[in-house]
Amino acid sequence: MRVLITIGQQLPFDRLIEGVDQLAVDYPDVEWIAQIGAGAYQPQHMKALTNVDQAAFDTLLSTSDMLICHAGIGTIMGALTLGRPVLVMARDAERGEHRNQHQQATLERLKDLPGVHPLGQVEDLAAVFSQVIAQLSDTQTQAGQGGGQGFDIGGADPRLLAVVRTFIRGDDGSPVETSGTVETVETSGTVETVGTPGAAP
Amino acid sequence: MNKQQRVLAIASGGGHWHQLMQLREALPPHQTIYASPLPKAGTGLADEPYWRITDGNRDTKGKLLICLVQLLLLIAWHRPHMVISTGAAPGYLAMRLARLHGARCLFIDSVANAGELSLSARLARDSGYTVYSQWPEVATAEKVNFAGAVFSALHYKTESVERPDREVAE
Repeated sequence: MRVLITIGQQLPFDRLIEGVDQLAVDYPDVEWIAQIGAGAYQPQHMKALTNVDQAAFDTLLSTSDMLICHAGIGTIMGALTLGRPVLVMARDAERGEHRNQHQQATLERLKDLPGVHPLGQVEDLAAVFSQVIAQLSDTQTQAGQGGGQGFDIGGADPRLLAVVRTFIRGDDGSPVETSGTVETVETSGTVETVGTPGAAP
Repeated sequence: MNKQQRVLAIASGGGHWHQLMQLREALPPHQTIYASPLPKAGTGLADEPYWRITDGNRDTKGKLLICLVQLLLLIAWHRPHMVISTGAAPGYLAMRLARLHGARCLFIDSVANAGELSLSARLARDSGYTVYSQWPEVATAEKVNFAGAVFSALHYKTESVERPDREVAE
């Protein structure tokens, strides 16, 4: 089993990194990989990376069973779409972990989504982690292979799909510039321009 | 839309691409050209026209320049009439280039931008393109549009709002 930890590219979050490092002592069979940013605390029981670019992070996440991270929306939604449960701790501005308390607001907002496990404080880590481990092994027993399914976080909002359809139809009031230079005959062989029933309601 | 009109759907890797795919059902199947930095095998696309581009951002200007050249070729070749993007920088660049021959542009800012618009979305807004935020507070503060998120659970489950019936597929 591999567990990935990330705290984002900007500010350190040693409280979380140190907490997970302590947890790692109890799970020596787990492979722990932590992106620690500019943190001062050097993990003793995890493989530590300073920063990871997006492509490398995507690869790491898709080969991990679980993510532990700060309350960054993109990171959380990325994990959920890949079907990875995510343990989230918000940065606390009063401890100097961020400039404001927006991560608390983010976590409050996302905490009820399937796959999101909020951590109120470092002391919650052990209990929440063992609970998620148990859920993961249940899933693996039932499905043969866990992960990759994605949590049900909904399709696109119908309103947003309607915006895209209206935009494509071209009657949304946005400027339509009918420049004389736009060719209407496709000359490239790579684009199919045959009729598309249903594409233009 | 005219049957010969072409749509360029472009996004960076990771979350940006996934969010674009959430909108795929609204994109015309035989008239959409896709582009991203992902290898095609990682996109979930089948035989749709696809260009793999180099990603760049404000900190990697060299890559951004390569991206610009690729987009110039792509747009000269396909002459898209519309560009739709869920971010980030390559989507905005594609809009700037496609606009030169009159393309219409729709920029949907990533759901990750819950506090303020991304730089690309702000530039798109200031260039006069249609911009949507996936967060109502951001949309109001930044004077752009809001019509929900690409993951509907984000707003419906967390705001206890009744989810409207999905549109019946045509």
